[in-house]
Amino acid sequence: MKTRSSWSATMHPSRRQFLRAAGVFLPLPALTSALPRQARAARGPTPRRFLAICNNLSVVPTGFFPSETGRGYALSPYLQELAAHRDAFTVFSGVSHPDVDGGHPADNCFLTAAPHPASGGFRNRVSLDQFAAQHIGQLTRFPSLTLGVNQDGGQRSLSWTPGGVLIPCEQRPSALYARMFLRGDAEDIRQQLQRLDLGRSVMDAVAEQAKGLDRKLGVRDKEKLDQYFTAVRDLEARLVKARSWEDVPRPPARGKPPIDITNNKQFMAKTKLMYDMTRLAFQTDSTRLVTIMLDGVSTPPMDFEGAEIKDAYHNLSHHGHSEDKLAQLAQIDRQHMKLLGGLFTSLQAAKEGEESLLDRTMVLFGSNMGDANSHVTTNLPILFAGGGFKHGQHLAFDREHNYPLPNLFVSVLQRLGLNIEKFASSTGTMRGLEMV
Amino acid sequence: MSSRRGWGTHPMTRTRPGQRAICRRPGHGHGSRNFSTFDPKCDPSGAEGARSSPRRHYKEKTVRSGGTLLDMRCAPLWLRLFVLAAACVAAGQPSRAAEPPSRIRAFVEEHCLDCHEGDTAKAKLDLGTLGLHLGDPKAFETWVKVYDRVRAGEMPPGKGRRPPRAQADSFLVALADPLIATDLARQAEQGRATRRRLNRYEYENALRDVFNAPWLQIKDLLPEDGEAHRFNKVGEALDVSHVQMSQYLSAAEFAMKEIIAAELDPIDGAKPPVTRYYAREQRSMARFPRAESEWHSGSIRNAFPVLGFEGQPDVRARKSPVTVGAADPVKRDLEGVGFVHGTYEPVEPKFEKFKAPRSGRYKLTIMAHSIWLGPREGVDWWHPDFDKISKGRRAEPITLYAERPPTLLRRLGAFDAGVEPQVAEFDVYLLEGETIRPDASRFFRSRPPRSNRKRPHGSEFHNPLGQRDGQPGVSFRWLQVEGPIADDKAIAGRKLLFGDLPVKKLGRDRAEVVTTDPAGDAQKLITAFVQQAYRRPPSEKDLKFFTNFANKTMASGVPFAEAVMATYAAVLCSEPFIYLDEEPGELDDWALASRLSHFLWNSPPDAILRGKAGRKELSRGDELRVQSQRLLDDPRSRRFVDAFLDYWLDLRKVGGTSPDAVLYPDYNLDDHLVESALQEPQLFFAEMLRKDLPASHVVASDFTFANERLARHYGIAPPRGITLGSQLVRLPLPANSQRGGLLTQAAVLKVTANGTTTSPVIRGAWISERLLGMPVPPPPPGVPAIEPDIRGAHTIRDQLAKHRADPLCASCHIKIDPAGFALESFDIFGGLRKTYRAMGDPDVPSEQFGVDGLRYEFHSALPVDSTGQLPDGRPFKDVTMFRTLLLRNERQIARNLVNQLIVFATGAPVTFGDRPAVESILDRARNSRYGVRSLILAAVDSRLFRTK
Repeated sequence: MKTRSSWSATMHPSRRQFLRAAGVFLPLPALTSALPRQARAARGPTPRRFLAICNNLSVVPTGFFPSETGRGYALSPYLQELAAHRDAFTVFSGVSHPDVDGGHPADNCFLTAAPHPASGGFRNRVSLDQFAAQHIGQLTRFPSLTLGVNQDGGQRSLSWTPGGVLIPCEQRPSALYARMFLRGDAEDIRQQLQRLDLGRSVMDAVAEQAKGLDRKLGVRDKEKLDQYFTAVRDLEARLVKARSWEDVPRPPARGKPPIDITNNKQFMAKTKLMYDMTRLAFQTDSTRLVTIMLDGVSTPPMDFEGAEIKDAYHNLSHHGHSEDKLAQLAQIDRQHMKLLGGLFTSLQAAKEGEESLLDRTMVLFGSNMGDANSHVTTNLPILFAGGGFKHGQHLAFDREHNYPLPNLFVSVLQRLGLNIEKFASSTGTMRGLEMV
Repeated sequence: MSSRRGWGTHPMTRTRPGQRAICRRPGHGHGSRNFSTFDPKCDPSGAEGARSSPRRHYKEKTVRSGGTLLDMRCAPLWLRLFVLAAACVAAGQPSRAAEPPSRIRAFVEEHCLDCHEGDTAKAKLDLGTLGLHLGDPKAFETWVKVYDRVRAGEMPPGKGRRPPRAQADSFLVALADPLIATDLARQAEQGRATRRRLNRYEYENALRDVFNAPWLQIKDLLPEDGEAHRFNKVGEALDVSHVQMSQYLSAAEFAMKEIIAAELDPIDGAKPPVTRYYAREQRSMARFPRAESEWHSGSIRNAFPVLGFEGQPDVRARKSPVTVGAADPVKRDLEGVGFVHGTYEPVEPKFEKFKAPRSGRYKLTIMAHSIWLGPREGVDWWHPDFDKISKGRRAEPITLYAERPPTLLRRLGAFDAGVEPQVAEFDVYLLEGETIRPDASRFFRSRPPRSNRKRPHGSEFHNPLGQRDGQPGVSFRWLQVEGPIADDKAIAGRKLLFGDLPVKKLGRDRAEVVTTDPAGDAQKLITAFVQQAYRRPPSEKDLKFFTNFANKTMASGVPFAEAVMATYAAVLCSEPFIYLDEEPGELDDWALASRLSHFLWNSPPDAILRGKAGRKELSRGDELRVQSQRLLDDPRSRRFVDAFLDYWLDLRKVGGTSPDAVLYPDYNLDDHLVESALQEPQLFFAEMLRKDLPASHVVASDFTFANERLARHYGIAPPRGITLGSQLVRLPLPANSQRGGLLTQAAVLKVTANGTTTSPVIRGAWISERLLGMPVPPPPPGVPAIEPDIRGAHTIRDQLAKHRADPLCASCHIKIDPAGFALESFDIFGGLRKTYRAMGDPDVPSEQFGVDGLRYEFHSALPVDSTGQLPDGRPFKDVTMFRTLLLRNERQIARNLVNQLIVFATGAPVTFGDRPAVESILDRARNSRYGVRSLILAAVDSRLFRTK
């Protein structure tokens, strides 16, 4: 159950693996989508995008959270790395997912807010990106992209299907690049088309068969049968649409194909490369939804310029207030902020129509843990940038009794053009966050 | 008929008129505007005044007719309606239906119109203009409410003078007839139930049965089903959209791929391999940190080597190898890995070297035993000394999970690691890639805090099971796996897909099939597949259709295997597979077989039922009863029990909330308690079914099912000579126990609370509706829920008292709250309590430590008051007395259960016209004191079940 099912009986393994690993929601699941009305609303003149990044070992809260609140707040030590973008982001404190506990496994719930991830009977729910993909996914070649860094085996990610099934992540920028800009070989294309054609002809067949059934139906039963016909026809139409993407030429390649970094010590370099790939994906409108899980749990002592890191990331995160470890963590955390600043800058520089890409791209950076040292899953460090909101503030909530983070998700969905009032345990939209 | 006893009457919504306005919701209020049914057609004179003012019109004629009550101008309409209704049910119905409606009119005018007329009509119910237009569902519903109010003797409310009983009875008879006639006429035309698709439980079971693969996990691939009348069985709520279709398509493909992947080659199948996995060779187990690891916080939850009943300091210090290995098989068998804690990340011991190579059946044997660890010198007494090991003092419960990345757990079962080393065996289905995780479920589970804060009264953390002379532990030695077992099921799926054609596997889940006669083979295979998948014999047309589809697909260049699989996918997405096929009127044998199996197995009919249906035997004589007994006696009836309870009692939500860590440290993180609590009602209801126990067991019983954990939770001791362990067994309840019936089981009390507090309103409404059959109106909009105060200053009852002081609120709350009040003596997990718990340290520090190892940090606040009174005024002082009052009307408890079963079995609620049938079901089961099995057998034999 690692992948959603596909006609992969017809694909040769490399292709299948590739698609699976790409985390690209391929046609059938991609089409688990949208009410057409909502899709139309989202298609409007302004494309809206969303990127979610979860660093699952968090950042040291004392370095991250500003002590002052509101608009004129003084930047915290870490946030000084983002001083240039001060008005382009909002920092939150006192927010978390209600009932999401359990330490590390909570990263599975960063975008789902499903309660109690560490309990025996846990079932995850749909993640924010996949929920949005149901509605706006068909507007782009890839309904969404699920990415990861240092994720052992690609078996974890931030993206979960409506049935609560994990979508494996893509960790190779080269594969992502190929997927975005290069057509597959003839055989790949043939198989992909065959797969879509088969799905379509199955739908066509079941509709035809049902039409021929001779039944005595009452009014209500007839409505039910009509509903079936509509569903079948809708799916058929969506398969046609998916097939048509295969005929739409891919955007011209930009830049050189990236070279994958294989050394996990290069955690930061890998992260930067994923940010670059994300910017490329947005720039070419290949997708509008991206998630990236930065997995520090099995990351060895890192290596990046100007830093001296002696311990593995996970070990460091349990710093036990050791000054030595905190000093190393501060370097790592600041580097995270620097990379984020670089991403903001590049999104700012990329123009789309009148606006910058950053104006149209919401970037959520945060963690499932409020404090990795004690594994608490409350008071999460959350930074939210771009996307056309009035930023430049520290929205501080009660650090004891947290404000629901899913409210921010509702704001995200509404900004994406969805007519949605509730997501997971939300109680409304994010208080104090206004669109431009 | 218990006229004034609110609890003992028909299910209904009873609300005082005039207090209705704030509680109105679509479908619940009277909505009088919709019932204004003046019909100009009935006014031959076409009088302008009358048309423009129906109410005045009615008034006038009432005056004119001077109490004869039958207005001549309207008479034809009344009669028309009656004649129409009566004609629809012509035969078999009592002739009373033809009686004139004067009795209705007379009664309404004399007793109702004072309040229920005109613009100021109470509850906006204007009976002056409400015609007897029963074809209008809303008018029908309103008259049913009128009927129920009068029948219950609720009108007029308060101290007003009630109509004489004889008059009321005569009115009720007169009103019942047209109501029944109309309802039955509707049913005759459309059926009681709306055509429905399979829900996702049923779809999963269907694929499992079609492919003979009980391990298939399909349910979670499909979107959650809509719910109506509490169940996922009602056509109106079971919608289909392109999302659903695309998931069906995916699920069908997924199932076939899994079948191919799981298929065993004959060579594999000859002798299932037996492999022993030693705990010492598992990376996740045999981690013996040399020093205190900061992850393990003072190393109190390190794993440690055990040899027999002794420690191995050398191995722990890594001076000796972790295992002697194959060189010394005798010693190797004694080697174990010990734990004093349960699983809590990141310490998640499992036999990870074993990964099920393919989905299928396996036999697991696990060797483990309990141990005792002495205290470590020089540190706090509750630190274990990992080298000071001796024999255990008691058996330890172990839960066995199958685990797939990323930490997807399926509970396989539980066993007890005895004082003497012994093996436990499991016959299970595993999914490909699953590994086995044993979890010592009684032990503490948490990440001990790095800095163990000290207070005047001692540390804030220690092992809650620790004693001055040590603490319990468990040693796992090995897991032996036999399998995958190649029984006939292991190849049944492959046979169904490709028959006897030679199959060449390409990779994990692809297949190439060799055929010399593609068209002929396709036809044979597809015919067999459709026959297996469809729940009635496929028509020649259908078979031809699907065969043609396969041929066309092959003609377009698709290889044989993929073409037939695409065809199978089409079959599994086709209307006849997804929808239950029932036509209005009496069900034919095939529809009956399907309805029966989906009722009692939640699955498609098996070969025997199909055989009976094919010979048209099922509808004859008492065959349906015989088959019902057979289905109930089959282990698959557990599918019914679980599916029924998942919805009736919300058991699917039992893990939905978790206990507050501060207020309920004794429940927090206790998965074993949750899992045990879930099993209790399932086993209890299965026992009710098996032994035909009276329906009153819903609220009262002298036994329950419990294991050690639950018995401890309930504070009940097992009978002498019985030692409780991880398994739930039938246990007598002490005579003075407050427990008994589903009513007071932990799972029920948990799903009716959140993790922090209980509310008598929420619990009361839930119990009233589901267990007692007393519908409760939804809360009025705009009134905030009462949030219990967890600081301990007020009780929820204090807060409610203010709310109930408002007569508008009181009118509903006198019905909602009693059950909730009676159950106030049970906390959020059904533990008995005398006082509420509140945040804030107690005056005297607690000496108790939670499952998470932390000292209790709540204090006992105000006392619990579980007194109350039923809506009819009868008082009770606690849950036992409340139960006694309920038991005075066993028939109502049974009636409610039948109503719930009818929705589950037929996909339609019990409507007015169905009530006589329900009463006759109850009559037939009366001799067994409404035994559950008797009720089911009578229900299956009723018109409700035998017609659409």
